[in-house]
Amino acid sequence: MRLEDRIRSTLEAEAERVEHAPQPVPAAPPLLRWQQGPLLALGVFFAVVAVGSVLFLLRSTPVSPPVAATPPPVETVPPTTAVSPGAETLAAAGLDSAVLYYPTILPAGWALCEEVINPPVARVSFCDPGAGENRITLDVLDASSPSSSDDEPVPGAIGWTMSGDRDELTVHVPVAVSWRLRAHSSGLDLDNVVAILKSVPAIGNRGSLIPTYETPMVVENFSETQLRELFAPEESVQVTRQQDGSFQSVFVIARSDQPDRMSLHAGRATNTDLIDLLGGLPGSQLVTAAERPMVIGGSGETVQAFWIQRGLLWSLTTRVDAELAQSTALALEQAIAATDLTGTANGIEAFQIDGVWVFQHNPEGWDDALHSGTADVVNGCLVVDGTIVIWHIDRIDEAADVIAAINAGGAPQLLIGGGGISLNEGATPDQIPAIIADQCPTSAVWFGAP
Amino acid sequence: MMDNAYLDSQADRVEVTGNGRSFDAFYRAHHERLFRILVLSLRNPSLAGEALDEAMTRALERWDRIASYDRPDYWVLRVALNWSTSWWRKTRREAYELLVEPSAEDGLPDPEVAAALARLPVKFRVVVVARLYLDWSTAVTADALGIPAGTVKSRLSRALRRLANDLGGEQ
Repeated sequence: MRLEDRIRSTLEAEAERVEHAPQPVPAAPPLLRWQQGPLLALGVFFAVVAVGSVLFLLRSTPVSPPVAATPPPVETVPPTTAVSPGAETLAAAGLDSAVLYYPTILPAGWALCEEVINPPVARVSFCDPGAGENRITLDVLDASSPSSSDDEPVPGAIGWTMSGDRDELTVHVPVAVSWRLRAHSSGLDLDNVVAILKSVPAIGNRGSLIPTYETPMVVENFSETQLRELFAPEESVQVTRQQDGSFQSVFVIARSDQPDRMSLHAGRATNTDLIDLLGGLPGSQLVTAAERPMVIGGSGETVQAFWIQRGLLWSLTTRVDAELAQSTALALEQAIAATDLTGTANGIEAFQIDGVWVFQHNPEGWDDALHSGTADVVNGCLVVDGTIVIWHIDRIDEAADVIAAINAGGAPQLLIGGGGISLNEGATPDQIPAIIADQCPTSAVWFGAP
Repeated sequence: MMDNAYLDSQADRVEVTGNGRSFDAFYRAHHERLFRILVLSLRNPSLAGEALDEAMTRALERWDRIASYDRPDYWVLRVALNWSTSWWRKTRREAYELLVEPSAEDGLPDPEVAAALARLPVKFRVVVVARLYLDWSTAVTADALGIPAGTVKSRLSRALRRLANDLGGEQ
C-alpha cells in the first residue's frame, strides 16, 4: 500500500475513535480563561483563608510555593531597589526571594497571606497578619486581558499604568509578551507600590532571566550515539529521542535507579522564554546555582526545570523529587556546555516540492550580498541563474511559489540576499555541501538570507 | 462514524443560508467536524475541546461579522489552532501522555504509521490531516489554515519525507 494510502487509512481509523459528546450550543459566551482564573481564585481564596487562619495559628513561617516536592535551597536574589521611604517603611520581605513573583521588600511586618496558583494565572497577597486590612495583591495576568482605558501612566516607569488612590490603588506592569502583573493595594502610597513591584525578580531582576548569546546547537543533526554520549555518560541511563508532536525534540531519560522516566525537551529559544514562565509554572523559582538562568517549579507530582543554553530552551520534566530534578538539570547544563558539538555541519535540509529538489537552512547569521537572475528547474533541481540556492527557512514558501510559476510556463526573476561560493571564483569542490552535491551537482551555491 | 461527505453536506447546508445564518445552526453543523480535525492535529482531545470552545466563543462574540465570511468554520479552525499554540507556549505543559506513542495495543490498523504521525510537529500534521484525511485541495487547505499555497505544498512534502524516513524509507 502506498504511504499516502496508509496515512489516510490510519487517520480515518483514528478519527473513528474520537469520542464526540454533542455539546450544547452556548447561549452566551462562556467566561474566557482570564475571566475564569480570578473567579476560581476567589473561590479558592475563601477556602485558603479558612484553612490559612488555622494554619497561621500553628506556624509562623511564610507559606511555601506549591511545588510538588520542596525544591532544594537556591541562592537568593538580592533586592534590586533600595528601601524606599514612604508612608510605610519598607523592609526585606523575608520570603523566598527566588520565587519570580514574590517581592523582596514589603512594609515592615507584612508577610504572604494568600497564594492561589491556577495556571496560567496566579495571585499572591501580602498583608500584616497581625492587624489591619491593608494589603497588596499581585495578579499574574494574560497580557491580552483587558485593563481600564482610564488608567494613567505611572511617572518614570515606561509602560506602567495606574488608577485609583492610596485607599484602592491598581498598577499594571508589562512583564513579557504574554504576561503582565497587576498590583492592587490598599493603604499604600504609589511610591511604595512601585518600590515593591520593582523588587519582584521578574520585574527588577529581569536581566538575570535573559540569556547571553552562545553558539547555537542544532540538536536534530546529532546522531543517536552523539546524544547518548552527551546526555547519558553513565551506563545506568538510557536516552531515546522522540518528537512529541508539538514543537521540539524530546529525549526520554530512563535511569535504572529511578522508577520514573524524565523527559528532556529542546526547542528553539527566544530571549524571554524564562520570563514567559511567570504565569505558567507554579512556584517558579530562579536557580542561581546554574551558570545560566534556570527556573524550576511545578505542580502536583510534576517538577520542571527550564534553562536557555546554546540557542535552545531546555526543559526537564520529571516526577522524581525536585532536588534530583535540579541536580540532573545542572548536570545536563554542564554537559551541554562542555560539548564541542554544534550540530550545524549538516544544517541543510533537502526535500522536493512538486518533484523539484530544493534546499533550506536556518543559520544564525548570513551575508548581505545579493544574487539575482532567472529561476529555472534544471535536472530536477531549482536553480537561480545557474546557481543552487539554499533557501532560508523563512523564505522557503517563496521557493514553492517559484516552482509553481515555472511549472506554469513562467520564468520568474529573483533577487535573493545572502552570500555564495563558486568553483569559478576559487571555491573547492569539498566546499559544496555534500547534501547538495548528492542531489544536484553544481559549481555554485548561494546561501540565502531571510 | 459520520463520514466527511456527510459532514461536508451539513457544512454546505449552513453555507447556503448566507448572512442570515444563525450561530446555533453553524455550531451544530461544524462542531463535530472541527473537533475531529483538531483532535487529529493536536493529538490531545482535552486541548482540542478547550481550543474549540475558545474559538467558538470568540466566533459567537463577533458573530455579526464572522457570519459574513465565506467560511466561518475556517476562521474558527484557525483561531483554535492559534490558541492551542499560544496555550502551549504559555503553559509549557509537557504532558507525559504525549510521550506515549500509539502502539499495536491501541487497535489501530497500522500502528507504525500512527506512531510516525504522532511524532510529526503540529504544523505539519495539520496539513497532512487537511490534504489526506479531509481531501482538501492545496488551495482550500491554504485558505482554511491562512497560509500560502506554497507553504501547504512544502509542509506536505516535508511531512511525507519525514514519515517515509521514519518508516524506513518507504515512498
